[in-house]
Amino acid sequence: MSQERERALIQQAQRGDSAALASLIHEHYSFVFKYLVKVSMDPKMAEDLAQDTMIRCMENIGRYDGSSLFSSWLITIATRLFIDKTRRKKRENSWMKQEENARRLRWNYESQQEDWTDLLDLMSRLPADQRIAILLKHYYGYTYDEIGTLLGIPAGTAKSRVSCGLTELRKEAVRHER
Amino acid sequence: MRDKEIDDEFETRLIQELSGEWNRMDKLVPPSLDLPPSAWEQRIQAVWREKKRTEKRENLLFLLIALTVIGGCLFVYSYPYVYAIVQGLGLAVAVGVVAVTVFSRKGKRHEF
Repeated sequence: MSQERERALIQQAQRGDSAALASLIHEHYSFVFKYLVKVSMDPKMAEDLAQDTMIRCMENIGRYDGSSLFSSWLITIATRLFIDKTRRKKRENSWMKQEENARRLRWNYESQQEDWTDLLDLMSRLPADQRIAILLKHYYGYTYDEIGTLLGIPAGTAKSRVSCGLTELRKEAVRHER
Repeated sequence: MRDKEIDDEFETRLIQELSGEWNRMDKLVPPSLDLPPSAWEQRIQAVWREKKRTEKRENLLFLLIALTVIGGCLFVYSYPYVYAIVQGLGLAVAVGVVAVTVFSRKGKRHEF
């Protein structure tokens, strides 16, 4: 979708045109879902959160001010919902559940005769805040300032999360190689 | 210096591998729910209807609270003596309840 068409659809949606909003959501649903799979490493949770993200988008489309890309706005909503959900889950003492989440994704790979690599295993064990920061920096190409804005943290904290995450991955990767 | 170069090289390779894994994940795990725009439109209308209903309810509640406060103020202003009597009665009842509770507890303690 071109930027201009997207902007026009957003304006129509903000004026109450549900068809325009439906078209926007349809275009972005897959993007949000794929982002959430990488963040949560759990297809089922990603599906639930992607739907919740879209509902938030429907409710708050009037508040979108265009200062960032629409996709970035959706990523912000999705990330905050994910963080809220993991906090709630932590309270429910779900270390076992986290293991189960990665197992679900692993099953997904294996059912398609695809390799589940050590790196995926390491990623699934990395703390979620570091995983999100690495993903946003090195896959989606956001700057530290942008990541800070998206996650509601200072840019320095975003940088340190990326650095700590990569260091942790390196340490584990070296240990696996030995 | 050499160590730094090795570190950087390792990190670059790690990031490349990660990107490769994420690309593969995009292809391997598609969303199971891919609704057409018409289905999304129905959901949007339902969400908007619900939002309007909630807003109406909240506005009505706010109006009721505001009217009660304003009515109360007007009442106090118009009939300060009645207000004082009502307040006094309320206070007397509250003190009475506390006193009865305290004395009945004391009485129970003496029984043992």
